[in-house]
Amino acid sequence: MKIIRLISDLPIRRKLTLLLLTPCIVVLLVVGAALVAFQLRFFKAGFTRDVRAVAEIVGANSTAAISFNDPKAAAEILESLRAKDHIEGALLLLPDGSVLARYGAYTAEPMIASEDRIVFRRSDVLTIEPVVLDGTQIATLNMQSDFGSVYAELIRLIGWMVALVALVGAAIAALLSTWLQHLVSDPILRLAQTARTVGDHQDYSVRAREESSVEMGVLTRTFNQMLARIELQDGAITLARHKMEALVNSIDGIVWECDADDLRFSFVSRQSALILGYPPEQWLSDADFWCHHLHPDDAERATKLCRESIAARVPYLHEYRMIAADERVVWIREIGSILEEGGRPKQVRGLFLDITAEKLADENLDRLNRRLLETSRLAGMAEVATSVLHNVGNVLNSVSVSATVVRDRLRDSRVHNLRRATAMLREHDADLLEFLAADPRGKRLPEYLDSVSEHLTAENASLLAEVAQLGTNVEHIKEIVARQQDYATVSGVFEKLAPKELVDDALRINLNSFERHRIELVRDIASNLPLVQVDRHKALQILVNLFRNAKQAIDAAQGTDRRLFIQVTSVSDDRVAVRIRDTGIGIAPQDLTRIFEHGFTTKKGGHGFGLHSSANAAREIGGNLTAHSDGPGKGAEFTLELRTAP
Amino acid sequence: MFRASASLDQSRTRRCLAYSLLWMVFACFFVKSSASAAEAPKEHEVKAAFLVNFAKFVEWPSDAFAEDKSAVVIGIIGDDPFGDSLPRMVKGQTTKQRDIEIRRFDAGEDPQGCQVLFLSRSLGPKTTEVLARVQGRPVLTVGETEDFVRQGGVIGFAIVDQSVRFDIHLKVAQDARLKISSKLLAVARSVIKAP
Repeated sequence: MKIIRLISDLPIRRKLTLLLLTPCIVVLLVVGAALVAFQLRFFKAGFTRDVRAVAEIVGANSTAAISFNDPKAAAEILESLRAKDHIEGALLLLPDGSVLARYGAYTAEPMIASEDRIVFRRSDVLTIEPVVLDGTQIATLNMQSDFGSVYAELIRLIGWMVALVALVGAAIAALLSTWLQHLVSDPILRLAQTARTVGDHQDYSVRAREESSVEMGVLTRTFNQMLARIELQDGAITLARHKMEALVNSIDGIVWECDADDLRFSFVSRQSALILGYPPEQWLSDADFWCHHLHPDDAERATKLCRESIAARVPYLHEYRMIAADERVVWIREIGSILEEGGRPKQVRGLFLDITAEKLADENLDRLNRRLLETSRLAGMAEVATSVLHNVGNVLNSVSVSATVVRDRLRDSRVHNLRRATAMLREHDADLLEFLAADPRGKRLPEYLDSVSEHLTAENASLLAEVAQLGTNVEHIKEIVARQQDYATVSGVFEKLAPKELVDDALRINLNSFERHRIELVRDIASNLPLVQVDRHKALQILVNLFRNAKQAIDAAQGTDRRLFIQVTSVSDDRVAVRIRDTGIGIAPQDLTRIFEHGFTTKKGGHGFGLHSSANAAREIGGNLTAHSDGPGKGAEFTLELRTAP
Repeated sequence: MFRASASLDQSRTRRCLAYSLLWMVFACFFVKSSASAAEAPKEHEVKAAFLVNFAKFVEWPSDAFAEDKSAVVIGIIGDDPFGDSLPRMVKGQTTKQRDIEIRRFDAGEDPQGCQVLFLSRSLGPKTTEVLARVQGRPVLTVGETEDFVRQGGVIGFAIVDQSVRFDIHLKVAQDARLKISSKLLAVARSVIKAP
């Protein structure tokens, strides 16, 4: 596998050379191997033949020497074996086992007869050749030939031959293949060069040279056609891209694309430099660019929403503030959509719109609205006041008349006549009986008193009537005022208010009295509270009432711990709670259920109206009021829950 | 297993053969040694063997034989020194597909019809006479006197270092139209080529 990879990594020239060379060498080696096998096979046969011929000749030549028992001659004949290097030794054995003659070093066992005339041993060959004369075996020639070294020599020779032939063959094949591979590789390399030029310079106007061979011709032609098409498409793509970029950059907003996992931007349109003062490069280079440039107050909320939307894979829209390069606070409306790939969020694409102007306009509108509301309220109050004054003034006429009548009657009263009569009686204290009996004035006095009392009785009746009239009129005034109050309640206006602002207003009203009574205020108002939708005056009325109650409870307790806790928290999505806890006298458990009832009070001089009406008012503005106390002397806690603005 | 048994078989037959060969050699040796034990190897026994062997290394012209299949006749002229050793040697022997026969001639007799003629030492001075008688005839004359070859014989025995050797007069042989094998010449003590 490694070799295959190594080969496939080679340049095509080498590969082709290798392609042509490999079969050549393989064929050469196979033929060489076959030749070697063939040679060795035939060498053995040839060797056998040779040895046997030599043995036969020597045997034949030595017949006379044997016949005439001439060891010297026999030895001389055997000496002729010296011509054959490989014959190491020989014996001429007579039938009786005696050795007639000996040549060289014959180390094997002498044999007079043998089944095989040739015996191949490990490294030598024994030849047992009977010497026959006229059909009679007169002796046996034993010959020992060194086969191993001859064989080795032969193998070496053939090996060298084969190696030489293979080498020369391979060299010729290499030369030929080097020459031939050009025919194939050159056009391919030229084509590759063209492709590289195209790749390196992105220049699709380059064309490959037309090749003459059929396949390469087709290939280059097709390649050129492809290039032409790519050139065309490249132009179109460039044009489209420019158009697209121009379009994207002309959008009055920042078009962007970022990774869904790490929110790193992969594209940001040019408008980013205009809107926020950061060029796109800066957005792309900083992995957390967006997070780093969010307004600190909005960062957490915006990131959370973004992450949640991506996780839920739903398009989203939110608004937050960002800090521009020149430290400006810019309101951004972000519209994002999530691109999925393989079932998980892959990218987010969207738009940042600069809504600072819009936000400012909104704020202005809001402020204007509030002022208008205030104004209209004031106007309404004035109207109410006018109508009340008018109605009250009408009644007041009657009241005034009744008062004048009563005053006149009282001024013209005969009461002084009575005083004169009593003064006269006191003057005559000593001689009262005598005066009443004797004096003429005394004698007329009872008559006088009678007329006075008669007169006074009449006057009294008249005054009573007048006062009754007056009372009726006053009742009427009260009625008018009450009606106006009811009317104002019904027409109460609901506003969106910050809970903190509401609490602060209520406190401001009571602040002097808290200071005077040395009550310490402990405030715990959560930040980022949603706005509440309430009738400002009713809410204020409730809160002021609660504060006053708390103050009175603390006073009544006469303790040293004089603290008032104010806590404002968000209790649910649509509820904000204002908790007012005091260190006052507390509420007995049995009273706790009754404190909101009409007419119930624990205060001396209290009218039992405050908490009842407060609870009603709380219900009217969509909230509720609850109380809690651990018992007498342990303080009390009132909770006013308010509805948040939708 | 099969191969082992095959080789076992082979080795067994080979061993059998070797035993029988050994036995034969032993028997031969025993026979020979018993013979030599009875009477020491005699010079004439060797000579008799040589005489038979000479016939094997010499070619006669075709007219030397009466028929194609007629036997090679070894003639002995003069006293027969071989005793029973020569007939024993000849018995069952052939040369060039011819039987070998022994014929004895008297000293004065014309040794006709023989291809090999052994001239006994007993001929003495008559040797030259006998040689002259067979001169020109295709007869291989073999003698055992010292100057037999110089006297016109073809092969003359000689004793060298107590072993039997021989000289050959090639010229005489050629004259007698005999072809002597070069092998025989090679083992001769001396070959006389000049007349």
